[in-house]
Amino acid sequence: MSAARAFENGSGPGAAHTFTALGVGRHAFAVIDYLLKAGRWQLVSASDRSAAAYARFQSSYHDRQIPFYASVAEALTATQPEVAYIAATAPAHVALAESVLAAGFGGQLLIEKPIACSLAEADRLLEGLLAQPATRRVAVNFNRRGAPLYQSVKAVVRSGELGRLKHIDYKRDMKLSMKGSHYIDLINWYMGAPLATVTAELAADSSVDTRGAFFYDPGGWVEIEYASGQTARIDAVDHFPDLGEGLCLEFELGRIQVDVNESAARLMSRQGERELAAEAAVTYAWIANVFEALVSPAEPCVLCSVAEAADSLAVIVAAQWSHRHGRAPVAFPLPADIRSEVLRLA
Amino acid sequence: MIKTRIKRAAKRTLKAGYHAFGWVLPARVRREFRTYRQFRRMGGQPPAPAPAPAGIPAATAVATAPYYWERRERPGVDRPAVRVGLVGAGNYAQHHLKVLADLDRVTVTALLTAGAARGQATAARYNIPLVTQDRGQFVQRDDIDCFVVVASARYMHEITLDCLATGKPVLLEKPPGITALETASLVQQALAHHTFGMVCMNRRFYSVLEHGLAALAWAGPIRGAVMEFPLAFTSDRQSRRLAEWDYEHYYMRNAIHGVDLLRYVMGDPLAVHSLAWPNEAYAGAAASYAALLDYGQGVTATVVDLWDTVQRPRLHVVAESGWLEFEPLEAGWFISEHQDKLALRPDPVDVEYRPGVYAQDLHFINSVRRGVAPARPACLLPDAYRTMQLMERIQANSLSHPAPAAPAPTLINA
Repeated sequence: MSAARAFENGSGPGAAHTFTALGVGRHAFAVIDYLLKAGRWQLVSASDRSAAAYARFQSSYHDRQIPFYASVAEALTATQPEVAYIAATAPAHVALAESVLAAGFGGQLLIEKPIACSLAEADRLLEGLLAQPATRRVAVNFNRRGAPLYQSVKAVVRSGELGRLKHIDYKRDMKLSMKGSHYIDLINWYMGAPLATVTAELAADSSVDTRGAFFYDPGGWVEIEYASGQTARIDAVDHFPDLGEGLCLEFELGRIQVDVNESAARLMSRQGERELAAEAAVTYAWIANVFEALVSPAEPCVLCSVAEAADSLAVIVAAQWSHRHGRAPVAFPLPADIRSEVLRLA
Repeated sequence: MIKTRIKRAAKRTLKAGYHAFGWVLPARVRREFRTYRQFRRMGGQPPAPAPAPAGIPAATAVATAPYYWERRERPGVDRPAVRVGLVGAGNYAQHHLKVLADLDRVTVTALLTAGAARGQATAARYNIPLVTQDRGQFVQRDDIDCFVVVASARYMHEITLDCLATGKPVLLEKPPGITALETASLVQQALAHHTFGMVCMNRRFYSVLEHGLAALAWAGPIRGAVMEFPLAFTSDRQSRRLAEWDYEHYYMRNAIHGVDLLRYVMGDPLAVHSLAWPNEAYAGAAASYAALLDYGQGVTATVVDLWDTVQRPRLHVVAESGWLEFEPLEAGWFISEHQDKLALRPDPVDVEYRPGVYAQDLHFINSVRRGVAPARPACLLPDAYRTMQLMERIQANSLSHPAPAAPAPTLINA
């Protein structure tokens, strides 16, 4: 820490890594809180166009004198963090990521999910990334990939211990994009095959949550077919208790179940039943693992690339299209008119 | 599984609001926290009871909003010394001097004045070693780290240009220019000399505004705002308190605070639809400026300046689950979704000093110490340029007036 900054007490000089938060809404606020308390990360700046976001930030961190900027470029150039964390709502993700690239940022970039509100925007970001020298790592924060629980399931899928993965079911009352996109990403990650078709029927309306009434994110059911012939079904509707909520992977030689509270993964095969992993589900600890993976290549967590995040978004875009067209299956690759469709996702 | 269902149902109930579990919390706490979750987030402790802010009838301030913090410098911190060159010794300069004199390791080393006796008296009161009328000599002094320019509005632009040319940071009073173009020339000057200029938009630093916005941030997205900034123009002009030049540029000089504050809270609009009645033919009497600002996604704001009405600015900021009311801007309330009206408690520095000035000047001085341009909520020159652009768009009158009627239009209820 320079002498000029010595008068600022409490900026956390003992932390191992530095980051900036671009967009400081509720979620980012909670992530920042967790990372700072964990002690390995130092927040060197923040940025948000909202004066309310600034004021809320000050209500907790005024003592730390963390500079809070209105523009991304200022936050990056003035403080040069290792990681830039884009945590605004989805409509701003790509624009902020482009601002980061335009500022010549040389660190790692983590973008909150969903990657964008339209596939065309996600495509634009992918093109932008290809045009830049590949000196940085860009990942999308599908934090379940940072959970040892889900990593242990991925290890079984990879090992072939239970044979070929045939089908995945996920059941939980949730919004399809907000919570559901985590499981769409997990399913895509486990399947490891290109999407073939998506069919869906969604709820007639979307409840209003803290993100605002502008956003539209209904639950419903979605069926996914992969080019490899594997299938998946997501039931994001209210269930009766005996229908077995949670994640279920069906293999040729057995199955794996993860309970809806994400506390344990159980493997069942002819050889018997065993627990793969058990943990107290702490979402922010998983996010911290993703942060660590960004700066430590040796970390076991597998980061979600922008292309993979675009695939998760594609399922949601296709699901909304299928629903509007009477549950018609939507075939991949998606045509240009569907790719350019802008959803009201947060 | 049934246990899980019960657990999730309980979680949903708590999320839905404290009213379902209202019996758990005492009445005073129920008034102050929107949800049980919010109560828990605050550490389960209600804020300390606070006296009603000045000017608020005690009966109205039934409770205070939960967000509150103080801005005064903490003692015992090793801070680099900062030497200030001050321009102006008028009324407003006294507000800055009072703050600068109280900041740790800040000294005013030189004072540039227009020569009135007040300069000498001010220098004596605040122990300023040098008083000069020579601007060239003043700006070239080695014992100045930064400038605070509180000159009259007419000379603000040219003095600031000279100060910025030294490459030292400048804190300047509003307006930074009388047009956006003039302000742009200051932006260029600062860039050319690798320094920054910060405009005194002290309302951005009002503690009640910050405390209110912190509460509103938990009340869902902001959907809109209404700013009313009436100015008692004709009576002010007749008082001859200011020079005639100031009255000729009254809109830019005075209405800038209202427009800038709205811009600060709401951001830059995508479109501006305005109706302006400057009434120049009648010396600006009863002028009106009204604008509808479109921010996209259904977010809108209105700004209404009705001149020659009671001069009491009002701001209303509406989020999905609550809103803020400021009337006047120095006193505010957060109204929750249950329509509990919670008074916003001001920081004592906004009572001891002119509201916003302590936090603003401290923010500037700390930036000088760091050697970097100040972050939010500072209004840097490029930011001020955009505010002035917005003012000019409001003045530009994008909507058409109705055709003159015969007989002459009459005022409603007149």
